[in-house]
Amino acid sequence: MSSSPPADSGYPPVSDRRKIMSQFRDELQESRNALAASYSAGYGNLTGFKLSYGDLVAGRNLSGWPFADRKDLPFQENQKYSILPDSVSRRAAEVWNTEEEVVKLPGDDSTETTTPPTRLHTGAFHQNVTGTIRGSFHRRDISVLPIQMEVPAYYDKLKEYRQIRNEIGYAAEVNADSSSPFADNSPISASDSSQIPPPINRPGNVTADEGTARIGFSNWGDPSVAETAGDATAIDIAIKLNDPGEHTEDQVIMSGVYHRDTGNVVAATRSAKFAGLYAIPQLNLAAGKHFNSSRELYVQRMNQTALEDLEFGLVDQLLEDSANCEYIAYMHVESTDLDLSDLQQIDDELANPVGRPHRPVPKLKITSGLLYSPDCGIVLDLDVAEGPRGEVFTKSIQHVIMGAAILILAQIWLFINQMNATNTPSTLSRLAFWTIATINMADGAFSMIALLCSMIFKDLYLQFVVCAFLAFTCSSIYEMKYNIMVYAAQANERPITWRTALQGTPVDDQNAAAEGEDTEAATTAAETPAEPTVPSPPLDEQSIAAQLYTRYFFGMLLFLFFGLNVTMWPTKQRMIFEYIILTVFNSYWLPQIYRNVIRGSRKSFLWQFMIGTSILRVIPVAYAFLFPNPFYHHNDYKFVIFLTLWLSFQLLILFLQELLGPRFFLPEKYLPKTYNYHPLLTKGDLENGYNFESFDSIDSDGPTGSTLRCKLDCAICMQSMKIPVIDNTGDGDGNENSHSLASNAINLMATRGYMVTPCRHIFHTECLEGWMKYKLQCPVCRNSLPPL
Amino acid sequence: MSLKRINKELSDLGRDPPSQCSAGPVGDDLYHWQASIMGPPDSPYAGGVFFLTIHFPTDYPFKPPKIQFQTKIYHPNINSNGNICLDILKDQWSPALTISKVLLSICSLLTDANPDDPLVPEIAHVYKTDRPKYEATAREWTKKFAI
Repeated sequence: MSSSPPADSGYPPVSDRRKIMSQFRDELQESRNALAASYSAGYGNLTGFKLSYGDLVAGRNLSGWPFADRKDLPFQENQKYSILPDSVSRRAAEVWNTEEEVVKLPGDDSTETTTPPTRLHTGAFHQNVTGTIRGSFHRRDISVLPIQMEVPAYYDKLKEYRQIRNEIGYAAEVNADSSSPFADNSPISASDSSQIPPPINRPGNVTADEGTARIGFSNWGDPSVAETAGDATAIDIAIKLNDPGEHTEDQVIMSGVYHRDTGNVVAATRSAKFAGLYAIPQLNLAAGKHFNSSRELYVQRMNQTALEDLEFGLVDQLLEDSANCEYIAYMHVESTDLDLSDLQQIDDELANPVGRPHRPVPKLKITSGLLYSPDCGIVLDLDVAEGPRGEVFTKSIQHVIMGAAILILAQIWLFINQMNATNTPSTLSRLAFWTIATINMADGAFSMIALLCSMIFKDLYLQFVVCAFLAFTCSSIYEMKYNIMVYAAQANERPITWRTALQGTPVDDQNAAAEGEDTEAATTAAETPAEPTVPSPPLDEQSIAAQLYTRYFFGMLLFLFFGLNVTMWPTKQRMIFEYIILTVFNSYWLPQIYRNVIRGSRKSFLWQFMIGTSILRVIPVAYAFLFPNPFYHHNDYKFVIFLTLWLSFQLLILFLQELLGPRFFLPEKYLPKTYNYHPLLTKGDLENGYNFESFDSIDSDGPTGSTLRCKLDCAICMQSMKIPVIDNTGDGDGNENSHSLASNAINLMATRGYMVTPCRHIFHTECLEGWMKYKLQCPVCRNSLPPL
Repeated sequence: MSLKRINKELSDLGRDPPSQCSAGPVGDDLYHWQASIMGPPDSPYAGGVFFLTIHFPTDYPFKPPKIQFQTKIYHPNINSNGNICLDILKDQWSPALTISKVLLSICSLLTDANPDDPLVPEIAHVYKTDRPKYEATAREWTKKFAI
């Protein structure tokens, strides 16, 4: 064997490739010959099958192959000839004999150990088993030796050869065991190297003692070749094995045969070191019709491709697959309650739906099964596993997607109604940006998931794409547009908002001192209204849109990568993540409650929108958590109750805010003060920068002499207005609280008639409120106004 | 409300008319006014009298009035239909502005055009590159249409 260093990149040179291919073709030709041979001829010299389990126990290795004692004897299912240990083949026969006596192993004459098989159902067996079933597996209490399998030496030109050889423990040789039943045979080559167990983390090397199994049956994809021969149907099987916490996942890809007359399945893997597919007929445990039909089917299937047509990629692929543990599987699919013609009708209708009435489609159910890995020495029992037929599954997912699409349409409708109701800056400024942003993120995430699903589930491509498109429209057009409107409406007031909100009444001298330059600016601006003194240039909608869309798409991408990562987490962490993300995504009214408190506003979204959105968003969660669904989501009614209560609680608070005032649940002292547009003015204020046109027209009103009236013009309607002014020139702090209740009560009524802006301009209430529907900007000095 | 305000503006105009301009309703319709502006003496429009139409929206003063030149004028911010490109007549409108203030703004626009935000790019280009030619053309147009 040449030990030249493997090429660093890609395939070996053409000359080597040609050499490898010719040897590969020779090997395949031999394998095909072995496949076509009779049962008694055994495995021939199929790669991976040269050593029987008996040979291994006897401590033989390949150097003595072919063994003289096996030349003449006809093959039978015995570990002397077979790759299956007797304990495994007996178990396999048990699996196959679940419902009727199908095979009888040669050495197994004593029938007293096993109970006679009984039919589980009255009808026929499934004629078509495509679909995915779920169940559990456990490690069978048999210890078997791992059979050493070698990648043929001609592969050594490929660069992965050495790496894979190390991975599968090629160098180790099987330790001799002198007490073997075949000790009479040729001397065992002395091997001093003790056996190195294959690395634990080899793909397919299941280490868990139990776990969940997901078994997918599919028809063989090539329609040009007959799928059936006699009672045998060619099937491909993909098995995923997880430990209970889903910390690990092993995938096994096999091909094999489903016997329609008995519901039995046999399948095997294929790689460079194990030609399992060519041994499928032999793995039928006995000569007879099952062997014959399997052989016919596989000879057809293998001869479909001419040896000359094989590509080099196949060799590469087979070598790559050699790192996996090889598997042989036996399963029994339970019979149905329907007779053959009913089943035929169902299969026709499922394959080619035209709406013919048929009996309910029976579920696929595996009563028992066996997974045996010869080279990793693993024997696993498959327990009961069941699931719907593939077409039924697809249909139920279709229904779910339709439901989702309807929910999204309803959400869009609610959004359109909501947008129509709030199209002025002051109504928009009441809405919480983060409420819409959270809803938007959830919808965006959903559209991403649907898009991803459309790529994974080819059959449901159209449905998923439509759903993804709808969700994308909803989130990135309607919701984003609305978000931009809200953001733009609030960006205008942003620089002054929080300070003003916390500042309280503008007549407070302390705060006025702290904001010296602002007051100054406001005063000067009042004198020269033509020159706007806007603190910061308001952002235009376009730059806001660009900014928000960038954030949105970046968030989506982040979520997508993170979400994909999460799907590979162990079950427990994944569930915790799911609970947290669902709770966060369903806390979207909290920002609105907060904003109501801060702004002191009672109304925000339409009630139709709030209740509708909440219901629309709880439905999918409730469906996934409460009902049996095609996603195999775990059931947890407690979380649904929690989520419903949580949303109702948020809605209740919003309702009470509207009813009792936005801050009903907060004690007075924790409240940030909102801006009061209706302060009672004092004479002291007048000297503090108010720009009264008719300052001299203050006239005494009433006998107390404490209340004056000041006449001035409203800049909006240009009509004159009279406002009450308290004469407290001597009172330094200008606080209206120091006045008697009696005089306040009279004046409180009058204060409703005018409004004072933070920039100390005075207007009629109806005039300024009318203007604030258009713009939250002082008409005189263009300073921002806090919303009502 | 709008009618009250327009009436008030009209009476203010009568009481204290601005020096360069005049304005008043056309017939009985208070929402439709006509105004005239004397070309500012330090501009190429000196000597001309420019007529404008003013339409008040029903929600005046929350929405700006629509003002158009009736007299043809050669100006980078005024096009051949008489439309005026002036921010306070669009998004920078404030209800505290009055017709007299707006007319004054238009007067100052005639003195100092804003070629960086033009309505007629060709005139703006001439204004920027060949000021004497612009002034000559403006004077010529004024003579032709506004005297």
